[in-house]
Amino acid sequence: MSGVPLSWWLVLATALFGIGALGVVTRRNALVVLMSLELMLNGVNVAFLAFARARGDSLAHAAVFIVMAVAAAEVAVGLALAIALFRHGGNVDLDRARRMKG
Amino acid sequence: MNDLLLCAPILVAAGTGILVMALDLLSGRDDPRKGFLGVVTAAGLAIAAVLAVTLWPGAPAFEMSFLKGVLIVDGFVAFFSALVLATGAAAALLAVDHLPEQGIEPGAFQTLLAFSATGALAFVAAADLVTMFLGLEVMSLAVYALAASKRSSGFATEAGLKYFVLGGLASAFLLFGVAFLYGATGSLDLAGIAAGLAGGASSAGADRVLPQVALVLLLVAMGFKVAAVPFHFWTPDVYEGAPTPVTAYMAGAVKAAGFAVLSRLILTVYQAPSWGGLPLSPADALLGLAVLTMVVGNVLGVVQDDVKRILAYSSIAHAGYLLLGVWATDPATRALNDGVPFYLLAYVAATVGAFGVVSLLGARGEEDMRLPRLAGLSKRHPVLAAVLLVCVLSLAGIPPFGGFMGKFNLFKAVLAADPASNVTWVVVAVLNSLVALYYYLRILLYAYFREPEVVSGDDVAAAGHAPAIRSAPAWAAIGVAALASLYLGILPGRMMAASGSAASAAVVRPDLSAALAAPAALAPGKSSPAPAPASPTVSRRAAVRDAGRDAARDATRNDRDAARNDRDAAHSRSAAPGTRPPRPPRPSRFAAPPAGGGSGR
Repeated sequence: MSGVPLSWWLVLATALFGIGALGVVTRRNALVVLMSLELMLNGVNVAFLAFARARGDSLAHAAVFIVMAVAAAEVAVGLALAIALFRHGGNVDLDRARRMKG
Repeated sequence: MNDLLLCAPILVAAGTGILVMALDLLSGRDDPRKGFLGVVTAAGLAIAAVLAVTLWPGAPAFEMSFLKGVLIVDGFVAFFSALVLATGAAAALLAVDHLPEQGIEPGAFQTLLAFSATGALAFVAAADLVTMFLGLEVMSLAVYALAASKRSSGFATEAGLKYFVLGGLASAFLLFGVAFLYGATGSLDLAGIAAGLAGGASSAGADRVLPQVALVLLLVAMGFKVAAVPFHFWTPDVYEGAPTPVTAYMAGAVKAAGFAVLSRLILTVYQAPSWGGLPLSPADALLGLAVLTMVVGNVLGVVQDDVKRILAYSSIAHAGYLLLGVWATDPATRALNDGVPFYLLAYVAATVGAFGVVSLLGARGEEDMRLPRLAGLSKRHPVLAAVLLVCVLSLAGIPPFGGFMGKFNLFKAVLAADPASNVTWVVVAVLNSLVALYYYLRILLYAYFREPEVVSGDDVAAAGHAPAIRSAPAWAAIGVAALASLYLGILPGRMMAASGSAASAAVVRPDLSAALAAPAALAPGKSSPAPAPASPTVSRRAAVRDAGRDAARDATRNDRDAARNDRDAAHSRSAAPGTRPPRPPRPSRFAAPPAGGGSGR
């Protein structure tokens, strides 16, 4: 790969993934959690594309398209659930969902 | 055409979903007879299950052509697909009269159930990690919606959202692991990745880091899906908050599919002989998860006082025993332990039956089932109490029932894999089963020996006077589950044989297709100059060296690894003269990729 080496891309992908995972675990707002999930999947996409470029084949490109489509479906379900939560309590605060015992 | 025929079970399951959706639209909005949608769903999924067990076990004889490398169909997939589909059918039947009671819309529910089962089939049958992810998402997205399908209940919505967030996290972890495996091997199908790792295992540096990171990510993801312990915390809440037929489906079908994929993925991808030298070998990780899962699951199960939560912790503990089974592969063949599929079968039958009884008692919109609500069950509903007795005793592993045969065979197989060192873990598992008896017997104590407290007014239902839901389809489902638990305990022979053949097909051998396609090219003289025969020896030397260095710290494990590698080395040496069936040197797949029929990409 000309220019940016593979390891930099992997650092970027891991950082995106890690920020997303941290967001999913720590944030309370359901919408922010959804965005964090998207961030994780995009981190994965960056990793896929970096590896594909480094290897010079296009196998992972198909994977990336599928991941994008699935991520869209996932967001649709997640937003529906967030709306259902909003109808019950007037907010989308996930801490309410944690009142169930661990 | 051949491919379409082989895909028939998946197509039938998907078609069932579409059919149910259409029937729901055609029938009136508030048609009271919508229960038939559940029966249609169950019938469709049952047909798919029959197709799966008739078409798939003999599949290697007529292989996929167009879908080769996308789906695998064999005895292993047939066994788990039938299990998943049967559980889906049972959940559909349980839901028939449960849904109106809870105010859930049946059309959407049954459609989602059928689509979820379709996704589970693709998940189990995937030969390709992207297909596997797609199947996982189709299965999971439907289950998130199902868990939250009771829209009048904030509790169910929270369960659905919690499951969604943690399931989404797990999917992302799985996908990140897949990306690293792709980076390490340049392949996305199971066989190609296994071959790539086996070829590159003796090299050093980055090539070893990527599969290692992938292993951790994949184990996290699958740990979430099968509810193994550090990743189990969603289980009790979601199982409790979701409508009980959905809980039965999650505890049965989703877990069975998760275990099918966990064993196939880990055992296929990480079968390289020299993994013992890594900081975290798949075997160590699985063993740690297994012990932690069974101990924590059982200990926390003791302090619960809601039947659904107790059964949730019981399902966590059973995941622990199953992980122990997956861990203890036969060292000679590295095949899946043949007790695992049978154990899952017995566990699913008993769990579906137990949750079925709970769902029949969940009248009046109540989803929780505190233990006092069971009081006097044996007098009010003797048959339900008997079904609960059979299923709970089967889960506990008491002799005449399937759970006992499952545990017995599983532990026997774990011991057989390595009699000297595995005995500790079998003892741990048996002690755990004793702890579990406490909470299983507590359920039966309430059902059989406690009288309901005499109360008045609104507390009548809470005190256990609520009548059970009358539902012929649900009775059929729990009846079959209880009879299956008895059958598996008394006449286990047939299903044990099926379990054995399923287990023997679990690991996808990377060299199998090459060996079948072009045996001539694999003759010793003609194969590539790649250091194929040497690599097991090198790795063996490395393992022995490791064993010497780490002897004080972890002698038994390394001895086992060294022994395995010895056996492997002997195997590859004896393969050279041609006395055994051909087991070609693995890297030959890479030596000449364009020529061979084995590597399509």
